[in-house]
Amino acid sequence: MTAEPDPNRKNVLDEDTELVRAINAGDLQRFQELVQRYEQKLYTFGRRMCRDESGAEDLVQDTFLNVFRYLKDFRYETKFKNWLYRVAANTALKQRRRSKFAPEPELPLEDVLDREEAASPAEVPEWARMPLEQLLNEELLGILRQAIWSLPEKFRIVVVLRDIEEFSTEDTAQILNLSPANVKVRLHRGRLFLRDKLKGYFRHDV
Amino acid sequence: MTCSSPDHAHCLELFDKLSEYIDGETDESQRLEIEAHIAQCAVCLGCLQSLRRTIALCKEAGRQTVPAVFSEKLQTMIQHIQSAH
Repeated sequence: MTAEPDPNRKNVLDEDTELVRAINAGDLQRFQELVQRYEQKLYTFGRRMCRDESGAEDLVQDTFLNVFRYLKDFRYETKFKNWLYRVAANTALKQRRRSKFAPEPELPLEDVLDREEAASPAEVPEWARMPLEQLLNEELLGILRQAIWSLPEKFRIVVVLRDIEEFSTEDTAQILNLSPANVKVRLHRGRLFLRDKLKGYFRHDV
Repeated sequence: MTCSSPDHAHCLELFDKLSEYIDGETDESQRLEIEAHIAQCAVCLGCLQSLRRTIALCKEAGRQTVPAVFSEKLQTMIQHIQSAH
C-alpha cells in the first residue's frame, strides 16, 4: 500500500483530491464525507465479491479502516478512486485467504469454445433480442449474481470492476496491478462464463 | 462454435476479440473485419448479441442498496476511530 514516490510522476487531480488533502492536513471530521461518498459503491463491490451480506459488510468496514490508517501514504499519483479500490481488492483477497486456501480454478477459454460447438442455433437467441426491461426479474438477477459469485476470483474481480463498477481497462489494470492485455483476457473469459450460465438458464426457463 | 461461414477458423479468431469489439477497444482494421464477418455469419452475430446482453444484465445484477442499519453501524465505527485520534 505504501510506495516510494516516483520523481517523474505528476500528481493526479480528481474530484476527491481536495477532500483527501483536507483529511491528510488534519481535518479528520471530513473522513465521514469520504465514507458517504463511497459506501454505496464499495458495498456493491463487496456484495459481488463476497459470498454473503455479512462478508460484504466486513469488506466495506475493513476497507474504510485500512483507508483511514493508510490515507497519509496516498501519493496523489493515481486517481484516489483507483487507490481506494486497490485497498478494497487487497482487503477482499485477504478475507478470502482467511476463509479458505484452496487454489482458484482456471477458466480456460477452450472449455467455453468447446461448449459452443454443441449446435448453436444460427440466429440471435430470443433472450438477447427481447427488450431488457421485459427480461429482468428477481429470479434472473439472483441466477446471475450466483453465477458472478461462482466465477474464480481473479476473473470475478475483473468482471466486477469493469462491468459493474464501470472502471476502464486501464484503471482496472492499475487497481489490480495487471497489464491491460491481461485485464482484457480475464474479462472476456469471465463474460463468456456468465453468458454460458445465462444460456443454460434461458434454455430451461424461457 | 458451429458456423455457417466457410472459414470456421476465422470465427474462432474473432470470437476472442468480441469483448474488445463491444468495448470499442479494437483497432480500426479489426473493427471492420469483425463487422464484415458478422454481417454474413449468423452464429457470430448471435455470440456478439448474447455477449452484449450478458454485459447489460451484469450491470443490473450489480446494483444493491446499502442497508440503513449497516450504514449507521459504519458511521458509528468511523466516529469511534476519529475520536480515538
